[in-house]
Amino acid sequence: MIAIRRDPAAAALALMVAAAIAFGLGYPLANVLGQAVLDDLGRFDVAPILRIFSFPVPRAVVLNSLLMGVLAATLGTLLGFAFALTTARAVRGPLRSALHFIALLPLIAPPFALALSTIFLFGRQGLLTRGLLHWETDPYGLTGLLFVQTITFFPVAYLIFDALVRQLDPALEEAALNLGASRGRILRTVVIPLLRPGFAAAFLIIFVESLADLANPLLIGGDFNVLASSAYLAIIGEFDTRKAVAYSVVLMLPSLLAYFAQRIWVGESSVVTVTGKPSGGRAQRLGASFRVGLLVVTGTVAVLVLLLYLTVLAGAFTKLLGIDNTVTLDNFKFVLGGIGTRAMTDTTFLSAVAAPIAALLGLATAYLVVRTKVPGRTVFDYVVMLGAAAPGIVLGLGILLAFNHRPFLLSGTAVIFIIAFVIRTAPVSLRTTVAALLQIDPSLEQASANLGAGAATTFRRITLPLVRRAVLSGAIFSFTRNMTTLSTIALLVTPNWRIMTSQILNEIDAQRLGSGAAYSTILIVIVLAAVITLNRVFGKAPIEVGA
Amino acid sequence: MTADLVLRHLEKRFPNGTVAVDGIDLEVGAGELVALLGPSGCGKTTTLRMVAGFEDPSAGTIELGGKRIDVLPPDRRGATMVFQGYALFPHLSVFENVGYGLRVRRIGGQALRDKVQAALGLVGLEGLGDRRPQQLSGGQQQRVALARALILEPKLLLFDEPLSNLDAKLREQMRLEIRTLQQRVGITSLYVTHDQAEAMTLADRIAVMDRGRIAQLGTPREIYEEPADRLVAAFVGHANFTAGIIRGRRGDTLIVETLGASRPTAFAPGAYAEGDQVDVMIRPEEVHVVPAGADGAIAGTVVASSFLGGSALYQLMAGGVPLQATVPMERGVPLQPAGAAVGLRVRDGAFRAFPAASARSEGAARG
Repeated sequence: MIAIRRDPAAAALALMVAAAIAFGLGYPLANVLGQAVLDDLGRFDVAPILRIFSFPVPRAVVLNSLLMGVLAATLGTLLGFAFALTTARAVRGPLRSALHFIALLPLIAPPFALALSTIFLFGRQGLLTRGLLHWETDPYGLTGLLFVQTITFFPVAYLIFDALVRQLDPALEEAALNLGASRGRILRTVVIPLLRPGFAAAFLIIFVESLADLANPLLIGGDFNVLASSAYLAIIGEFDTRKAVAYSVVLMLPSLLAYFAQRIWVGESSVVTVTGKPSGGRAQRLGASFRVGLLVVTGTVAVLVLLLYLTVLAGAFTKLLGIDNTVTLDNFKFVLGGIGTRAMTDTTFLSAVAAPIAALLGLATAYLVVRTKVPGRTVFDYVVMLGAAAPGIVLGLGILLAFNHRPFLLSGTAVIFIIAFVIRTAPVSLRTTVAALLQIDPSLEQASANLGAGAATTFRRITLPLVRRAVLSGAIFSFTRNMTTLSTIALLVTPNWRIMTSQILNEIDAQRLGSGAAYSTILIVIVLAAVITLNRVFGKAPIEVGA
Repeated sequence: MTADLVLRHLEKRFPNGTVAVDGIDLEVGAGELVALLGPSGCGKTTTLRMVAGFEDPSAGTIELGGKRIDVLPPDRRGATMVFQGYALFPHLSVFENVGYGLRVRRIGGQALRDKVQAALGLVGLEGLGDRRPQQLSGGQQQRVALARALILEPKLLLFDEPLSNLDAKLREQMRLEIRTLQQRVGITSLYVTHDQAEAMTLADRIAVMDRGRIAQLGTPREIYEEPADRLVAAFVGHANFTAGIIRGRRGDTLIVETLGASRPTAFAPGAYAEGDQVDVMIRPEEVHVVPAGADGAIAGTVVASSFLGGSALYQLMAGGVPLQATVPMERGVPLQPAGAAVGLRVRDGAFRAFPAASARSEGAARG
C-alpha cells in the first residue's frame, strides 16, 4: 500500500475520478438544487418547495409516495424473505433451482413488462379477471401499483436474504435444536434475529426503488400520483421546470435518507459476496406444515411471475390480447418497420458504450477507496453512490438542466445519455469491485511489490485479474440497467436518439399495447442475449480468492 | 562476521500514538539468520515490514550491504519475503508464481524456464509447476513461496511467521528444510516468529523483542541459559519462579535465600544489595525428583504428573511455591501419583536471580 501511496498515480487517479463525478453528477444535482432555492433573478427563494406542503394536491402526492414506498417495501421484503426461506430451508433439488431462477427473473425485465402484462391479465379487459372470471376490475391505482412493484422489487430482498441465509452457520441451528428448541422456535429465536440486518437493508432499498420508480406509476398508477410521476408530468405535460424541481427535491430527501441509513446501519454486510465456501454441518429443514404453507405462497407467486412473462410474449404475438387473440406478427412488423429498429440500435449502442465506462469508473473509485491512502477517499464512495441513491428522474432532470445551456451545451447528443447511464450504474460496479478488492489479501499486492513489481505492474498483473469478474459483472449489470431504465432518460429523449423504454411508454400511452409488448419482448431478448454472450466470452472459470 | 543488514535506531510510531518499534539497533552478519522472537504486539512484524518497505520508519535507518534501503520503494530493495499465509497469487500457476519476479524483470523464454525449474527442484516441487496454488497442500504452498523468494537470488530473505499455518509435525520438518536451504544458499535472513522452538532450531542468533525493544540479542544457547530478564526467561523455554532474598555475594554469584536455604545464584545484570527481594528462576529440567526425605532435598508434594513419552512432567508444590519439573523417564519406573510426598533437588548453578517483578521498571529500562 505504501508503494501506491508514494505513487503519484494515486493522486492523479483521484483527480480524474473527482473531475468525472463533479461533471456528471455534482454539476447536474447542483443545477436541480440551484433551481430549487433560487428564483429567476438568482435570489434565494424556497417558496416553491414549501408550497408543496401547503397545497392539498402536491401534499397528497407526497403522502401517496410515502404510502406506496412503505407498503411496497413491506410487501417486497416479506415476499423476498419467504422465497429465501423456501429455497434455503423448505425445498431441494430442481424445485429449489426453479424457484431461485424465477425469483431472479424480474431483475432483468424492463419494468413495463410486468405492468403491461398485469393490465393484460387483470385490466378492464383482463384475460383472467374479465375473460375467465367475468369480474369487473380496475387495476389502475394503488392496488395495481403495489402488485407490480412488489413483483418487481421482491427479488432485491430475495438476493439479500439468500446471501445472508447462506452465511448462517448451521452449527447455531444445530445447537438450538440440541438444546431442545422446536423448528419453529429456532426460526423465531435464531434465524430471524440473525437476519435482522437483511430486513433493514431490504426494506430501505425497496423503499428507495419504489419511490424512484417512474414506469409503473405512469402505466398503472391511474389517478394515484406520486412524486416521480408528478415531476415527469410537470416537464412533459406542463413544461413547468420549477414544479418539477420542487417535486424532485422533495423526492430526494426520503430517498437519500433511506439510502444512507441503509449504508450506515447495515453497512457492507448487505453486499452480496460470493465466498464459495461450503458450510460445514447441515441446515435444518423447517417443519412440514410450515413448509407446505410457505411453498403455497411462493409457488403461487412463482406461477404468477411466469404467467406475467408469458403474457408479454402472448401480447406481442396477438392482435390485442383479450379482445382479439389472433396470432400475428403485425406488432413486430409495426415496431421494426417504424422507429423501432432505430430505437433498438440507438439504445444498444448507448448502453454498450456506457457500460465499460461505468465499470471503469466503479473500478477506479473502488481502488481509490480500498487500496490507496488518498485523503477523503471514503467521500468518493459516498458521492459516487449518490448516482444510485438519487431517484432516476431527479438525476435525469439535473442532466437536462445542466447540459441545455453553456458552458456544456450537450442536449440532443449521445453524450448526455452516456453521462446519465454511467453515473446511474457506476455505483453497482463500485460495490462489486469494493467487495472483490476487500477479499484480496493485501499481502498479495505486497508480495508482488516485494518481488520487484511497481504499482502499475502489480495492478495489471495481480489486482486486475483478481477483480476481473467483479468489473465484468459491473459492466454487464450496467448494460442491462441502461437498456431497461426509463426514469433516468425519460426527460432526456429527443428525436436524435431513440430509447426503447421511452418508445414503449409512447406505445402504451397510445393504447398500442400489442406493440408495447413486442418492444418489451425484443428488449428482454437483447438483454438476455447480451448477458449470456458476455458471460460466455469473458466468464471462463471463476477464481476463488481466499486468504 | 561482517555486518550485512544494519538497523540503526529504527522507530515506528503510528498516527494514533502507538509506538510499535521503539528505536532498535540490530546488525545481521552476511549469511546469518537472525530471528525476531516475541509475543504478539512486541514490534517484530512491524520491524520486518519496515525492512521490506511496507511500513515507513518514523525514525532511523536501514542499510543492506552498506547501502541505505529505507529510502527505496519496496520493489527496489532486493529483499524478498516469505509471507505469513504465503500470499501466492491464486490466478497464476505454481510455475507463474515462482517466475513472477523474473517476469517483472523482463526475463523470459528458456532462461526463465530453467531458473524456475531449478528453483522448484531446490524446494522439491519438480513437476508441480502446472498446478494452481489452491491445489497444493499447506507444506507445498510453503515451498512455492520459498522458491518464489529464492529465485531472485536476493541479498536478504525475510520470513514473516512462515510456518504458523502448518500443523505441528510439518512445522518441525519445514524448520529443518528452511535452515538447511538457507545455509546452503547462504543468504542473510531475518525471520519473525512467536514460536521459541522455531527460533531456537533455525536461528544463528535470536533477538527477543518486548514492547518495541530488543530485550536480548544472542545465540539460542545464551538466550536460554543466561536470559537477560524475567520476560526473556519466561518466553524462551519454560521457567519456574520463586521469591528470594539476597544474603550476600561470593565472587561471580549471589547468595540468595530461596526454597528454605541459602543458595549460590547466577544473576542477570543489574544492581543488587543485601536484603533485596529478587525473583529466582529455575528451568524445569533442573528440578530433580528424588524419594521423600533424601539427604538435603527440598520437601515437596506431587500435584499432578503426566507421561510425555521420553520424559514426565510433574506439577509440584514445595513450601507453598508451585514448581514444574521435567524428568527423563526410565523404563519400568512408575510415575509418582498426585498427592505423593517427594524430595526435590536443584543443582547449585541452576538458580538465576532477576530483580523482583515489583521492581521491574529497572529491568525494563535497561532494554
